[in-house]
Formats: sequence, structure tokens, C-alpha cells
Amino acid sequence: MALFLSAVISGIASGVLLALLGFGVVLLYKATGVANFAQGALGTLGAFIAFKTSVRFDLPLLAGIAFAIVAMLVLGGLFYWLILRPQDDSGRLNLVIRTLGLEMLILAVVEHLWSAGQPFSFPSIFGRAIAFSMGSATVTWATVGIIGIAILMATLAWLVFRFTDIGLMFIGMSEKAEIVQMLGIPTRRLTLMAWMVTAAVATVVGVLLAPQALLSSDMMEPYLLLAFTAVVLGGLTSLPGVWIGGIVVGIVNNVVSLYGNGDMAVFVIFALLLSVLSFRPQGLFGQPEIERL
Amino acid sequence: MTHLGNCLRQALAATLTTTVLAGASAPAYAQDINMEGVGKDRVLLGTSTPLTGPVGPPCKPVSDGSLAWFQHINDQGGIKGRKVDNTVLDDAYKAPEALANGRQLAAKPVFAFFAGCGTLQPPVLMPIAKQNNMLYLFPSAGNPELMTTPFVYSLWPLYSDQFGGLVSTTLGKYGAGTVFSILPDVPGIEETITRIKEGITAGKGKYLGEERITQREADYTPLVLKIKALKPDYLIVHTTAPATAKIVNALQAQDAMPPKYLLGAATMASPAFLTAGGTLINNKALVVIPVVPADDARAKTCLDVMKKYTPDTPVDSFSLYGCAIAQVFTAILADTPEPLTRASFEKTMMSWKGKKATELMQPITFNNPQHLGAGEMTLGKIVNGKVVADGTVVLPK
Repeated sequence: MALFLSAVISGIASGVLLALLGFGVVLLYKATGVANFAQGALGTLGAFIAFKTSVRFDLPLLAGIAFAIVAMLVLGGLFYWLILRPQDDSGRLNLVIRTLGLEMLILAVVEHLWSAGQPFSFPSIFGRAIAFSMGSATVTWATVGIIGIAILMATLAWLVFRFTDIGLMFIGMSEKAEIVQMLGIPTRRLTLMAWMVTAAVATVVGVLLAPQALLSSDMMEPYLLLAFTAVVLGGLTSLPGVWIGGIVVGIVNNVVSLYGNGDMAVFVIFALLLSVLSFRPQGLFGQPEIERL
Repeated sequence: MTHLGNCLRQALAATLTTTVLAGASAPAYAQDINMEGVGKDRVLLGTSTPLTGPVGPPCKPVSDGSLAWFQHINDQGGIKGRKVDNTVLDDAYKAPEALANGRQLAAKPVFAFFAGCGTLQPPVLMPIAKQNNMLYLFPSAGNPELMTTPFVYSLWPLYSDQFGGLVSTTLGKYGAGTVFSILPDVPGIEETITRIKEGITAGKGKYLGEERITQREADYTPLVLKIKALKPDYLIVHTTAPATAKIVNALQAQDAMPPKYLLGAATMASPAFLTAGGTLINNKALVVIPVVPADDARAKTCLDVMKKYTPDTPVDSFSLYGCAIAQVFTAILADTPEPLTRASFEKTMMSWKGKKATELMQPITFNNPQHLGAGEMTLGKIVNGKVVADGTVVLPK
């Protein structure tokens, strides 16, 4: 029982990380209606910028992270202008495929510039010390910090979407972009903002994940499919859903890995993904798409 | 008709140009190289190895280390007036590329396939070597068939033997205890488990079991929780360097480091692991490596040569191994009487008994059923992110 409890606790910690990764995807989807497959690559790029800046200029890690967040705000905007903005009325599938291309492009650049000698040890901004133990599982300050940041980001996103005009405009744009445009709302400027914010969020996720995953050009790979499962499970349009989806996936992954093995966990998680897609496509908390005939 | 004429003229011009260029780019010595890849002033070797791709980072240093030593020898006039011309082709750890490289090298022809890195090339290159009566020298790979193929000579023991030797040596030196293994889920791993169990029996320890893992798991915490519950004194970790670093990270986060030692092979001594996880296991990890560590005085000659000829190559057990096998090759060449043939070279190798051909390795004897030159390896301890020599590992017979 103690071992089971330990797996659940470590699963929650791991699930919060998955949810953070999925959070960026849902954020952009809610704002623009595009599922961003480049989210992992944006996080990897941001984490590398933080690390390299800190090492190259002998700066404290926090300064490197701050610089990376600013740089990724700019780069997120640039990616939108150069890759998503041209012919942006080509349909959602076209835009989604562009995000896949963007992912490959970013990873190729990271691989070319910085992969020599990887993986790199990435210090945790919260330290590696043990905060407390539950069952036989120990919880480090890094995990506590990740959960704290996750709560902060979730609250901020909820406040923006629930109480601000800009949040309302984002929701309107994702549901009926043409109508919102006709109302005179600058949808392209909003989309630009959404890409800038999502790139910054991805950087925060990359920086939080790198101490555990170790910094490398492929560090997000094992997490991405799990994060997308969390997104699908929770519902692509639901911000609370992605947190619950992430935690469920994290717990299932760790419990099945504990009593079976990693391969079995992958099987169970993807069976879960396919079941949700087949029987409740909008996810557990998402809104079904209803069209007037 | 005019268009057709133009096309024909262009095709003819292209063909002529290609022919002229092919002739111009053909090696100048091709005329005086015999069918075994030996000439009066040089001997040709061919290597297909991953210089790029997933295993490029640990494999490229092997060929760089060899090339540095060959360049050093060539600058001194070669061995008996012959320079060593080692053609290294990148296969990016892909079988079709390795096959194309093997055919290209055999067509040169080369005296032998030399070195190579990883388990992918040997099944591809061995049939080509057999078909062309070539030797296959010193691949660093864990394929059991390398040990049963008569024209293959190796200085890289199978991982099963490395771990068997490491476990019995460690338990003998640092005291008996319980052992748990984390192993890759690959074909043939049962042999490694058998050897580990034999080593534990020899060291009067107790085996707690093993976990087979994939190399790309998102979270190793569940595995670490299992290990924590079992409380092994020694933990064998045999997987890629990045996965090993992630496991070590999880062990530290869960306060589950084994009380005695982590045990690993050359990947745990590689920069890819040491830069990420080396400081977390200070004085807590023992590794079995094919050569002495870089900080050892015996590595000086190779270090000097690599610094001169391949200064960008990382200094680790892989590049030093590359230098060492090149030293062994040139030592055999020096001992082989004229005329140099594959048969006379092989006869010389088989005549060696405890030959000290390189400072980096233990004395070498190839005259055994496996044609495995190395009977002992180096035991290394990881201290302050570096590997230091801690004795020798005697491999199981």
C-alpha cells in the first residue's frame, strides 16, 4: 500500500509537468483554434536559450531564464509572422501542419547549434533537496515549486479568460473568427499575442522540466505524447481539464509502470487515448462542437 | 531533331566529364595496391562507423582516436615504410549505409575492416568480409557472433562478460551484498543476466532481480521506487548515457542511491553521462572500461597524439580506445614478417601471448577460441565527475 501511495504521489508530480506542457497547447487552441504541435520544441528552445545565456555570460540561472522568456516572447511573435501569418485563411489543418513543420525546424536548429555534448545537467531553480516524504516517496522542493508555478499559471489563465475583455475576445476568436473579425476586433494582433504568450509559457515548462529530463534537443520527446493524451483526455478547450487529464495520465503511467513496466504503461495510456477519442471526442471536460444545420 | 541532338550532346558531355572526374579522383596509388589492399608504401584499412546520428557522439571519438595514431605513425614514415591509410565512412547507424560502405571499401580493396562502433554494422559487414576473404579487426560491438566468427579479432569483450567480471571483481573488492540490475530490453540480454548471476555467486552475493527498460521513458521514478523498496547494496545500470543520467537523477530525488556502488560500463564513463550525472555519484560508481582513464599516466602518449592531430576530439574512454586499437594494429604490422599478407598478419596475431602492444590496455593474447585479445579490463571509479583507475577487472573465461 505504501508503494502504491508513493506511485500515486510521484504520478501527481509527473502529471503536473505533463499538464503544464499541455496547458500551452490548450491556451493557444482556446485563443486561436489551432492545435500547436510545436509546443515541445518551443520549450526546448527556451530552455536552451536560458542555459546557454547563463553559461556563456556567466549569469545567474534566473537571469538566463528571464532573458529566455523575453527572447521567446519575441521569437513566438516572429514564428507567427513568418510561418503562421502568411495565407492564414488556408484552413485549420493547414495551420496545424505548419506547427508540425515549425517543430521540426526548431529542433533541427537546436540540434545543429547546441547538441554537441548533450544531455546537459540543468540546475533546478528550487534546488534538489528533499522537502518531505510520503509513504516511501520523497517529494523534492523542485516538485513543490513546479506545483506552485502550475497553480499560479492556471489561476492567471482562468482570470484572463473569465474576467478580462481580451480573454473574451480570445474565446470569441477561437469559436467564430469571422464574426469576431466583422465586429472590428484585430484578430491577427490577438493571434500574435497568443503565440508570444504560448512561447513564453513553453519556456517556463522547458526550464521546469529540464532538471528532471536533462537538457537535450530531444528532451521533450517522451513527454509530448503523454501531454497530448492529457490534453485530449481533459478536453482541448478546457483549461481545468488539462490539469485533471495530466494528473490522471501521470498517475496511470506511474502505477502501471510500478506494477508492470514502462511498455505496459504506454499501452494502457494509449488505449485510454483511443477510447476517449472514440467515445467522447470532446474529452472529459471539453465542449462538443455543435453546428446548426 | 535539334532538341534531341542537344540532349545527346549534353548526355555525351556529362558522361565524358564523369569519366574524366572519376579517373582524376581515383587514388594515385590504386595501381600499386594488390588484391589484399597492401602496397609497397601503404596498407589500406576501411571503417564504416556512425559519425553522425543517434550514436555518433560516442562513436566518432573512436575513429578520431585511431586516425590520430595512424597520422602520428605516418608522419614518422609508417611501419616498415608503409603508411596506414584508414578510410572512414559514416553510416549514421543505418544498415543500408553500412552495407553500401562495406561494399565500397571491399571494392577498393582494403586489407581489413577496421574498428566500427555499435551492434548494427557487424551483421552487415561480416558477410562482405567473408566473401572477400578479409579480416575484420577490433569492432567495438556487443554481438555474440563476433566471438564465433574465425576472421574477426576483437578487443571489446561482450557486455555479458564485462558485467560478469565487474560484479565478481567488485563484490570481491568491496564486500558481498545484494545486487539489482537495470538492463536494456534487447535480444540476448539473458546471457548478460546469466553472467551477472555467475559473478554474484563468485562474489558470494545475492541477486535481487532485474528490470528491463526502454531508453526513452518519461519518468523513471516508479522504477526507482521499486529499487528503493528492495534496498540493493549494488545497482547495475546498463543503458544509454542519457537514460543512465535520468535514472541517477531519479535515484537522487528519491533518496534511493545504493549504499555501496552503482555499477556500469563504458557509457557511464562517457562525457555524455559525466557532464549530466557525474557529480551526483561522486565516489559512488564503479565502471568497467576497455582502457585506462584519461588521467592515468599511461594515457599520455595517446593524449599527446590526439591533442596534435585531432584536437577537437573529446578525451574519454572511447577516443582512447580508438587510439589503443590503432596502436595494437601498428604493433602487429611491425611484428609481421614480409611479405605482408592477410595470412601472415593473422599468423602474427595468433602468435602473441600476453603482448604489451599498448600502454592503455592489459597484455593481449588472441590465441583463444573467441579471438578476443583482452582478458582483463580497467576498473574505474567516478570521482569529482572524472574516472580514475581503481584496479583491473578479470573477465570470465
